[in-house]
Amino acid sequence: MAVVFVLFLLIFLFEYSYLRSNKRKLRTHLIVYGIMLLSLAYNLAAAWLPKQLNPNLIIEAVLQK
Amino acid sequence: MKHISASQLVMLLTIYIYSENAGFLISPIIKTASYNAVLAVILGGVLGLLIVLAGAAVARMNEREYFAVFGKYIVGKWVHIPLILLLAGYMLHRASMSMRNVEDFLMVNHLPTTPETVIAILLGLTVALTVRSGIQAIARMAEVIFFVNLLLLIILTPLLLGIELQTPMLRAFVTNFDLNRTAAGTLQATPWFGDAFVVLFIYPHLKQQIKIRRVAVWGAVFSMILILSYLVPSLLAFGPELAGKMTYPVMEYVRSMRIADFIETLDPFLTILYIPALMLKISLLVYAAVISLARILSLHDYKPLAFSVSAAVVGYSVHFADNTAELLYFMTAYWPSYALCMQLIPILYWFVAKIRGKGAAHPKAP
Amino acid sequence: MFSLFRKPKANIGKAAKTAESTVQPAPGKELGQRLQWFQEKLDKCVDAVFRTFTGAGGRQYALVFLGGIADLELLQEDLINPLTSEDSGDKTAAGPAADFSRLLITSCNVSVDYAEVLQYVLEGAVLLIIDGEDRMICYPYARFEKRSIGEAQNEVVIRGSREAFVEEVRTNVTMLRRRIKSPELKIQSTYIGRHTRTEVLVIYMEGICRPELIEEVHHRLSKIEIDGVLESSYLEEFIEDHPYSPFPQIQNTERPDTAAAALLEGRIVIFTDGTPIALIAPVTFPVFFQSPEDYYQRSYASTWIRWIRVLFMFVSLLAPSFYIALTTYHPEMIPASLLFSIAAAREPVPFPALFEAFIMEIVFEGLREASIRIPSAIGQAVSILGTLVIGEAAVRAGIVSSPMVIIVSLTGISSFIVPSYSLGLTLRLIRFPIMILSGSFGLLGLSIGIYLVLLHLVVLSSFGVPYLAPIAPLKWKDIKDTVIRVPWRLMKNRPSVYGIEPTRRLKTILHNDGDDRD
Repeated sequence: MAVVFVLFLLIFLFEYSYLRSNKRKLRTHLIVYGIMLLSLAYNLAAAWLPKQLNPNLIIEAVLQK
Repeated sequence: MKHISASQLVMLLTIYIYSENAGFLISPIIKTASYNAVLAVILGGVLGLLIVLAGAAVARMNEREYFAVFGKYIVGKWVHIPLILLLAGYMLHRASMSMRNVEDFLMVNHLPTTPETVIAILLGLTVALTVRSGIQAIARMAEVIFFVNLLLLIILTPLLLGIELQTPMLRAFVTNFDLNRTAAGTLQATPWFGDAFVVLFIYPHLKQQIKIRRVAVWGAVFSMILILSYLVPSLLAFGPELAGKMTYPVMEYVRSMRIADFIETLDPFLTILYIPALMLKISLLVYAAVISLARILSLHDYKPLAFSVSAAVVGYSVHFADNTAELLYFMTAYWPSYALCMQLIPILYWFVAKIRGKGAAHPKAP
Repeated sequence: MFSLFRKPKANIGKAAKTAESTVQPAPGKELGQRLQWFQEKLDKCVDAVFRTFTGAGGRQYALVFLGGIADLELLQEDLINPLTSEDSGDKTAAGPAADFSRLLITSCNVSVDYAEVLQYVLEGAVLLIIDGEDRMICYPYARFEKRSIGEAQNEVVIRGSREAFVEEVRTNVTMLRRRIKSPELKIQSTYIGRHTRTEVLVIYMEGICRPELIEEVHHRLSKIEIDGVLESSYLEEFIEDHPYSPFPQIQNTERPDTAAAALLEGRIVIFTDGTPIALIAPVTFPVFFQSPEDYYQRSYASTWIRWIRVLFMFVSLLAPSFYIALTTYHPEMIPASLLFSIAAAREPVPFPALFEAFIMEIVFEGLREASIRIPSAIGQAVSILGTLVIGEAAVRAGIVSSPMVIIVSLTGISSFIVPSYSLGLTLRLIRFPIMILSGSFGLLGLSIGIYLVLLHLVVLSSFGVPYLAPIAPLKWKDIKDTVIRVPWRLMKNRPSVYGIEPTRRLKTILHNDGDDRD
C-alpha cells in the first residue's frame, strides 16, 4: 500500500513539473490528475480486495450467460 | 506526425504479433487443437488478418484523424464514447494480461525469489517510458528488435534441429484432422492475430503512401512463419499431450538444447532477447489506449497520461489472477470470445459508415 | 579607389555588435584627446603601447597597439619609415585625401567608430590615428606565437595523413583548403563570447550540404550568449539537440582528413579559435565506431575491425553486468567446470558480486583518471603500484576474486577500443546503472537496461538526423558504410542520412571486372 502511494507521489511530482515547465492550461492539469486519481483508486481497490474487484469476473459473468 | 514507413510497420506488426504468441499461445493452442494446431494457427492468422483489414478499412475513411476522434462522426457521440472506452479498456486489459504472462514466466523460470510486484513495477516503468517516447520511438525500436530476432532465428535454427525430433509425427498433421478441434483452435488463435487491429488507433502516424493491406499481410505472414518455426518443432519434440500440459513448451524445448556440452542452457540468454519484444508489444497496446483516451478528452499531449495508465496496467497485472494455472484457464476459456467481441467493434463502424454513404467519417460541413 | 573605403562586411558587422558601441561618448577632435580616449579605455593594461610621432610633412600621428602581439619590425618598415622619410614630401600638394589613400594596404580596416577600432586593437591590430583625419586605420600586424602543425595524438592511424589541427583557425582552414580545392568549399566566420570574442568558422560544401542544415547551424550559433568560449565543447553543449543526454551528439576530431571526408558527405565542420578540436555535425551513432583508417585499409579488414569495435563496445558496456547476473542469478548457464572454479575463487570474498564489481570498477576508474592527471614522471610508478594492488594483493587478501579482476580489466581495455573518446566516457558511465539493474534482477535487469539505453538512442537526434540512422530508421543504401565498409568503387552515392538527395560520389563506374554494374 505504502509503495503504491510513494509511486504515485513520484508520478505526480514528475507530471506536475512536466506540465508546469510546458505551461499547460489548468484544464490539462485537471484531466491529468483526474486520470491519475482513477488509476490510484483502482490500484488501491485492487490491493484492498483483489478477489472481488477483479474485472475479469465481469467478463466471465457476461460470457457465461 | 506522419513518420512510420511501410517497412517499419511490417516489422512492428511482426514483432507485435509474434512476440507474445510464440511464448504464450503455444500451450493453449496445442491443448485445444493438438495435431491440428498448425492448421489452426494458419486459419487463425487468416481470420485475424481479416479483422485487421476491417480495422484498416475503417481507418482509411479519415486518414488525418485518430479513430477516437472521427468515430463520433460515424455513429454519433453517445455511442462512440462508450465504445472507445470499451476498446481502450480492452487494450489495457490485454496489456495487463501480457504483462502478467511475462511476470509469471520470469517468476517461474528466472527469478523465483523476487516478489512479483517488483518485477511488475520494473516492467511497468519500461512500458511507461516507451509510451512516453512516442510512436516513432516504438517503430524504430521494432526495427532494431526485429533484426536481433531474425539474427537469433538464423543462428539458432541449426542448433535447434540438433534435438531429436519425431519427424514421423509430421504425417499426423494431415491425417489426424478433426473439425471440432480445428475450429476450437482457430477460435483460440484468431484474436491473437486480430490484436493487430491497434493499427486503427495509430493510423494517422503512418506515412501517407503506405499500402496498408500489403503491410498487414506481410506482417501476418512473417509472424506466422516465426510462430510456426517455434510451434512445429516443440510439437514434434514433445508430442501434443506433453506439450499441452507444459506452460511454456518453447522454453522447455530450448532448454533441452545443448551446445557441444559447453554452454549448459541457453534459455536465460533467449529471455534477454525476447523480453524487449514483449515490452514493445505491451507499449504499443498502452500507447493506443492512451492516445485514444487523450483524444476523447481532447488533450493534445498524451504524454502526462503515460505513467498513470501504465500504473493501472501494472496493478491489474499483479491482481489479474491468483496463479499461473488460473491465468492460463482464463486465457483459454474466456479471453478469446471476449477479445473477438472487442475486435469486431470496428466492423460495426464500418457497416454504419457504409450505410450512411460517403463522407460519413468527416465532420458535417457547416 | 573608393572600394577600399568600403567596410569589409564580415568583420566589421560583427565587431560593431558589441554592446558598448552605441553608448561611447565621442572624444574631441584633437589628436591628444583622441589618444586620451584610448588611454582611458586601456588603463592598467601594461601591454598597451601609445606612441605619437611627427611625420614628414609635419603632420602628427599616433599609434595604439598591444606590445608583444604587434610585429614591430613590420610596423617600423611598412608604416613608420614611409611616414617619416623626407623624400615622400610632395604629397601635401595632392591634399589630405590622397595622402590618406596612400596609407591603405589591402587588408587594413578603416573606421570612425571608436569601439570598433578598440576591438581591432584588442585583436592585435596596430591603430594609426592621423591628426585632422576622422577615419582611423587598423593594420593587421599581429603576430601570435603559435604551435606548428603536429602529429595527431589521439586519433592515431597506421596508414593515412599524420597531421592534426592546431589552435589557430586560419591555419586549420589552409589544411582543409589543401585537401578540397573547390570553390564550393564555403567558410563563414562569426564571433562568439562577450569577452573572449572567439572566432568561429562554419565550413560546408555548397551543393552537397543541405541548405536548411547550414541555416540551422547559424541559427543555433547566433543564439549563444556567453562571456567566453575557450573550447569547442562550449559550443557543442549549446547547439546539440538534447543537451541533457549522456551521449555525444556532435562528432569532434583533430584530423583534417576526417573533417574533409565529413564535408564531402554533406556535413558541417565548425572550427573554434584556440582549440585544435573541430566539431562535425550532424552525426549518427555508427560514425563513432569508424576510424579514418577504415577508409584507407582494405574493405574486408575494415569491416572486420568495425565488427570487433562493436563487439567490444558491448563488452565494455555489459561484461561486468553479465558476470554479476550469471553468477548471482543464473549459475546454470555456466559450464560446470568453470562454475566450480569461479565458486572456488569467490569463496573467500565476503561481498556479493555486485558490490565486488562496484569496488573494482570504481577503483579502476580512479586509477585511469589518476594516470591521465598525474605528472608523467610519477605516472609510471603509480600505474605499476595500481596494477600490483589490483591484480595481486587484492586477490590474495580476499577482497576481490580473480575472475572479477579479469572482467574488470577486460572492460577497462575494451572501453578504449571505441575510437571516439567521448562515447567511451559515456559507455563507462552508463555501465553502472546497468550493473545495478542486473545485480537486482539478473538477466532481466540486463535486458531492461539495454532496452532503455536503446530507447534513449532511438529518441535522440543530431540536427534532426536520427541518431541510430541507417539502422533505425532503416536505410538500406547507407548500410554499405556502417555495418560493413564496402570497397570505394561500390560507394557510388553519398550517404543519404544527412538529409541530402542521393548524389553521386563516383562519376563513372569502373567496369574492371564486369560484375559491379548497377
